[in-house]
Amino acid sequence: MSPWPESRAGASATPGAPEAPGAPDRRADVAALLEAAVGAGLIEQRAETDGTLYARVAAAAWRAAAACLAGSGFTRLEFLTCVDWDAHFTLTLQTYEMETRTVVRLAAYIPRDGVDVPTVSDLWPAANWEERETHDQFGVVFAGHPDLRRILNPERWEGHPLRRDYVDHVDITRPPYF
Amino acid sequence: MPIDRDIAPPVPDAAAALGADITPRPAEPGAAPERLVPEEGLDQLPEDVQDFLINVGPHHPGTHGVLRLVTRLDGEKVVGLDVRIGYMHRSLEKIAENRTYHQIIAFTDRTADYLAATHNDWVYCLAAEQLLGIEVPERAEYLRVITGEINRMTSHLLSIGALGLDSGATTYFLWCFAARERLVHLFEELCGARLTYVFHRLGGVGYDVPPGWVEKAHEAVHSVIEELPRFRTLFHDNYIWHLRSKGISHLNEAEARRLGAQGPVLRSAGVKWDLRRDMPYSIYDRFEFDIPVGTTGDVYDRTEVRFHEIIESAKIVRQALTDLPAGPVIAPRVPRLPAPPSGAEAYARLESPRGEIGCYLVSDGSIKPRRMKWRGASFHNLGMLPQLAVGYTLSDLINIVGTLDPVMGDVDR
Repeated sequence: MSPWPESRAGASATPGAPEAPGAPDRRADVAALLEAAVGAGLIEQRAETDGTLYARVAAAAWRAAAACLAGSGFTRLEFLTCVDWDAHFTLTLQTYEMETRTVVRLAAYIPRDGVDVPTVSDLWPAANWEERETHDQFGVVFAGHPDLRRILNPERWEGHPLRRDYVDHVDITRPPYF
Repeated sequence: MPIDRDIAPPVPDAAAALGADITPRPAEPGAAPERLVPEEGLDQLPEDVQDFLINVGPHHPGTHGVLRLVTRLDGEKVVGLDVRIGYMHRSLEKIAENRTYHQIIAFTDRTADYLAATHNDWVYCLAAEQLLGIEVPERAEYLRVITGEINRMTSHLLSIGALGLDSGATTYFLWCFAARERLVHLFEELCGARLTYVFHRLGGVGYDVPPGWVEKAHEAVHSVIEELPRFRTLFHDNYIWHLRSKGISHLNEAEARRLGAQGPVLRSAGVKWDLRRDMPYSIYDRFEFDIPVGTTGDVYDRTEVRFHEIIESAKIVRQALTDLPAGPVIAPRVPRLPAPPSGAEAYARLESPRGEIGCYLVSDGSIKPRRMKWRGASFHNLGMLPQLAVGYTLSDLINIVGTLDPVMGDVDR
């Protein structure tokens, strides 16, 4: 017997969500949707080993691709971040659809400086803080973000710590082992 | 005294008595109290309203860590809220860029969510093992599930106990801690640590269980479950607690999905979503357990979901302890200095006591990761706090923060 009273358990049924995984694979469908939304802006797509659909778009198509995903059922934003590759940043976000468990990782190469990226915080409220963090740690400016302040580092902190060329003026770390 | 598992009532029966006193309330989607939020925002209060700017924190016993809430009050009502975080920022992600794949493990349980340390190690190991292609032995998977679920019980006991403390029920807090202590002893015997267990390794776990530990674990988990009806009488069915919690901070299903609520907060709003069932990892597809969900998503429901998840975790621990197979606890020939190919990346997610946590690893071909992104559940839950707390009183705000259960280590990283 469930410890939860029956009436509550009955109210819990989520319409549209299957009880167990095994829902249809939407990856091909999503790739087609993305291609329709951004056209030639879709540069690369592949399936990762864990089944995630990896799609890389042009920087100019970042917002359109994100809006396409957010508008077609991808309601859960997992993370939004940057990877510093010295020559460029790889702006990455990952989102999944609860009904079919389809996971999409969207990436775009952006220049390290001087480019404003359109915000996606109006598409996913969870992206608000994630973009603030990316701004704080990498110096990426998200155009249209409602409240683009530093979030983890102090307001007066100099530099963006997760950039690979960041010079730590308060160096209290030991020399590296390797 | 060892219990005889054939005679002692199984966990679901012991738990069945718990629901007897709850009168289920119908869902009242339109019943949220009218909020006193000025449409224009923080600076646009009516002129005849005298408002106060009150700093709650960063050092405040009700904020569960160094969290600063800048609140704008109209009388006792919160009409504006700005959440300031970062007071405990240690940059786990930068540290990880300067460590080899094996060295990172000890940092994940200290620097991220320290109340659910095994889950942090676990999710890092899942991501790194996916990146390096390491297979985990069967016994190690079971030990990971057992420690993970016991850790979920300790974490939830602390969460609901601290909530009692926030609302004046000090006895309840002490009872929860006494129960939690029995589970912490299990960890102490298993790996020597009481809070930050560096139990996981790439490819398995660090140690096998000591002799007699399985029986002790059965007994300890059972004794905690047996105590829960007493907890319910003292706190959860208490009239004062009902007044303090019911109808406070409503969250309906659509709003919970839109705002990106995590874990128990999402489930309390009626969304039956748990990664252990919906995107299964490890060996969770072998166990039978229920997913407690609420209806109104208020403070009461969030507490109830956590309370019932303790019972569900106990069910899983029981099954896993009974089925625990023999064999090695770590994969053979795990490379000492693994260097995945450049450009390889992996993401792993799992259901921690606070919701979905994740670890995103990117390799540049060297022995250290190019980037590790930590996705904390508390970070996402705390981001919703202004939407949940504005319109309620300052004393409710403390309880609302308590039911979001933020661990500042997970928020600030």
